[in-house]
Amino acid sequence: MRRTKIYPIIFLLALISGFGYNAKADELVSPQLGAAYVKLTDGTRNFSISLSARIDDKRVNITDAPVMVYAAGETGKKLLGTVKTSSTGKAVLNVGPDISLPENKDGNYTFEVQYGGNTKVTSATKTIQVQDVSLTMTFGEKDSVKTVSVKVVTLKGKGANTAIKAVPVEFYIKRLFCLYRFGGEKTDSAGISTAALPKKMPGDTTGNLVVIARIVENDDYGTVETIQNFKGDNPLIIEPKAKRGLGDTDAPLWMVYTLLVLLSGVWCHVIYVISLVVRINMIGKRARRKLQS
Amino acid sequence: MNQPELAQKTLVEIVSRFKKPSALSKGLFTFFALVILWAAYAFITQLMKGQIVTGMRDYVVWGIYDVNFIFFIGISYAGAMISGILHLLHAEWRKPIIRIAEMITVISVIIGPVFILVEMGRLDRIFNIFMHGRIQSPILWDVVAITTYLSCSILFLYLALIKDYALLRDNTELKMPKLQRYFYRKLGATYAGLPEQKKLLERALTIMSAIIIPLAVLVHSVLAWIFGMTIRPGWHSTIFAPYFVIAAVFSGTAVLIIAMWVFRKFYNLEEYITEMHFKYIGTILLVLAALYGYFTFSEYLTVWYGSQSWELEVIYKLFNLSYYGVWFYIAAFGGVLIPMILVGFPFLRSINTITIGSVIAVVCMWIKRYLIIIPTLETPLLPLQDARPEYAHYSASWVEWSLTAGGMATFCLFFMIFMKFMPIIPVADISEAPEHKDFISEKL
Repeated sequence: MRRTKIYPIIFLLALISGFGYNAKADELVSPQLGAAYVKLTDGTRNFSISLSARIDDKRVNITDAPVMVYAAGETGKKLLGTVKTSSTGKAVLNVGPDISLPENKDGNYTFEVQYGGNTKVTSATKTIQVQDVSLTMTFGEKDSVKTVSVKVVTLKGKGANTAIKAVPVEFYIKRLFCLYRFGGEKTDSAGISTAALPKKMPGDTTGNLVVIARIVENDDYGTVETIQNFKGDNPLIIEPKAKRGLGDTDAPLWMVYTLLVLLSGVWCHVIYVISLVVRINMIGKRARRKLQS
Repeated sequence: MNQPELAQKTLVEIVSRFKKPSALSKGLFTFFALVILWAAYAFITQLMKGQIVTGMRDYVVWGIYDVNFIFFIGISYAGAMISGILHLLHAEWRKPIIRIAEMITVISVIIGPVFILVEMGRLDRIFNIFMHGRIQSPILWDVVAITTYLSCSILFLYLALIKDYALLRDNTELKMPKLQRYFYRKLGATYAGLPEQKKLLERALTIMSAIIIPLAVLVHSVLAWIFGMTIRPGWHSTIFAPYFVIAAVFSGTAVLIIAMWVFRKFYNLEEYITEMHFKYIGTILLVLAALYGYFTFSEYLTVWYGSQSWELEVIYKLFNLSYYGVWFYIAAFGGVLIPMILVGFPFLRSINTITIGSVIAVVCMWIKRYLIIIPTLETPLLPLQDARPEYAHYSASWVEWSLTAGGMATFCLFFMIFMKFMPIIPVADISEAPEHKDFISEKL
C-alpha cells in the first residue's frame, strides 16, 4: 500500500528535475565580445575582435562566427565589413583610409561591432567611440641630444586641428623581435610630446631606425600610431664571415687534407690489391695458353 | 693423395653438408623470411605515416634503430680483428673459423647502416649527405668510413675466397646449376695455385689484413665521436672511442663464438671447428671482457666522482633501480662477469659454456648500447615546459621492434644464403701445409 503511494511522488520529482535540466540546457549563453581599435600610420583603421563565452566555468572560443562592423553617424549606419572568427575566436578587420565614415554631431566616430548570435549564444554589440586625431612626428636635436617629437591634433568636428594636451604618448624603436620603449610623456599645451632618442642604438646596415609613436588604448582616441624612419649614426656592422672554420660551411684545410690523405692511403692500397688480383688472373691465363700450345 | 686431390675431397665433403637443406633449416628459412616480410610491412607503415609511428619524439631522436646500428657495426669486428690479426700473426688454428668471421663482418656492415636510413625518415634526401655533406661533421666521417670499410671487407672476403672458388670451378663431382658454375668460373678467375699466384694472393691478403684493422678501429672511433663530440652527459668523454672499439671487438668475438657453435652443431663440423677453437677464441673473449669491464668502471667512476649536476642526472637514472638500474647492472656486471667466470674457470670451460657466456655477452652489449643512447637523450639541459610524458620517457613502438627483428632475421638469412654459394670452411687453406714464416714483414 505504501509503495503504491510513493510511485506518483517519484514520478513527479523525476518530471520536475527533467524539466529543470531541459530548461538549463536550452538557456542561451551571453557571449563576451571584445573589440580594440587601432589607427595606423597610413590612416587604416584596424579592428581586432575577440568572441568567447563562459560555459560551465570554462572560457570557450566562439569560432567561425560572422561579426559585422558598422560606422554609425548622424546620417545613419554604414557597414564597414563582415569577418568570421578563427579557431581562437579572433577576427581582424582593416578599413582603408579611402573609405569615408559617417560622423556624429561632435565630429567623432562611433563604431558598432555586432555579433548576431546563434541557437546557443545570444547576440552582442560592442560600441567604440573615438575622436579622430593625427600624430605628426618630427626629429630634432637639443644640446647634442637627438630628439623625437610628436604633435597630436584633432582632425574632425568643430575643433578640427586643435592641439590636444595631456595625452600620454609612448615612443618605441622597432627591433628584431619586439619594440624597444625609450620614452613616454604626456603632450604639453601645444599638443607636443618629446623624447630623447637612445644614443647608441644600432640601426640597420645604413643606420636607419624605425621610430614609432603611439597613443595606447586611450578612452577618447583609441590606439593611434605613427611610424617614421630616422637616420641614426650607428649602422649595424656585420662582421665578415669567418672562412674555413669548424662552424663554417667550408671545412678547415687541415681537415680536408687529413681526409684526403687517409682516404687516398686506403684506396691506393685497395687499387693495388685489385691490380694484384688482375695479375693473378693474367699469370693463370698465360700458364693456360702455354699449356694449350 | 696429393694436395689438390685432398682439397677437392674436402670440398665435396663440406659442400655436400650444405647442399641438402634439413627440415630445421627449411623451417628457419621460412621463419626468417616471414619476420623480414613483417618488418617490411612495419617499414611501409613508417614510410606512409611518418616517424610518429615510432617511439622517437623531441627528446629521444635516436631510438633502438641507432642501438641496432652500433650493435651491427660492433659485431662486424669479428672479421676485421679476429681474421685480420690472426692472419698477420700466422695463427694456423684460425683457418677453419676465419670464413665465418669474415662473413659476419660483411653481412653486419651491410645491415647496420640500413637502420640509419630507416631512422632518417626522409630517404629521398639520402643523396644530400653526399652532395652537401660537411667534412666537419662526424656523421659524414661515419658515412665515408663505413662505405670504405664495407668495400674493404668485401674485397678481403673475396681474396680469401679465390682459392675456394677455383676449387669449385674445377670440381666435376658436385652437381650445380650452370649459372652457379659460371659465377665460380668468373670469381675463381684463372687461379691455379701457381707459386707466383700464391705469392701475389698472399701479399694481397696481408695488405688487406693490415688495412682492415685500423679501418675497423677508425669506423668505431668515428661512431663514438658522433656521441663524444656533443657536450651531453654520458657521451662527452675522451675514452669513448677506445671504449666503443673494445665493446665492438668484445661483441664481435662473442657473435663469432655463437656462429661457430651453430655451424658446428647443425652442420656436423666437429672435425674442423674443434674445442680448441672455442678455448682460444674464448680466451680472447675473456681478455676483452676484462678490458671492457675496466673501461666501463673507469668511465662511470670518473663521471660519478666529478659530480657535475647534468652528468649526475644521467648517472642517477642509470644507477637507480626504479629507472634503468636493473638493466645497467645486468649489462655492466652480467655482461662482463658471467662470460669471464664461464671461460675463466677450467672446470666450467666447455664448448657449451663458452657459447652461453657469448650469448649473455651479446645480449648485454645490446642493452649497454641502449643505455648509452636513451638515458642521455631523455635528460635534456633545458627540458620543454610541460613536456608530454612520451617525450620524457622513450618506449620503442611495435614498428621499431619489428624492424629490429627484421634486421636480426636478415642477418641469419643472409648467412643461410651465403653459405649455399661459398664454403663456410676455407677448404683450400686447411688442405695446405702449415705456413712457416716468422715475421709479418716476410709476407709483404
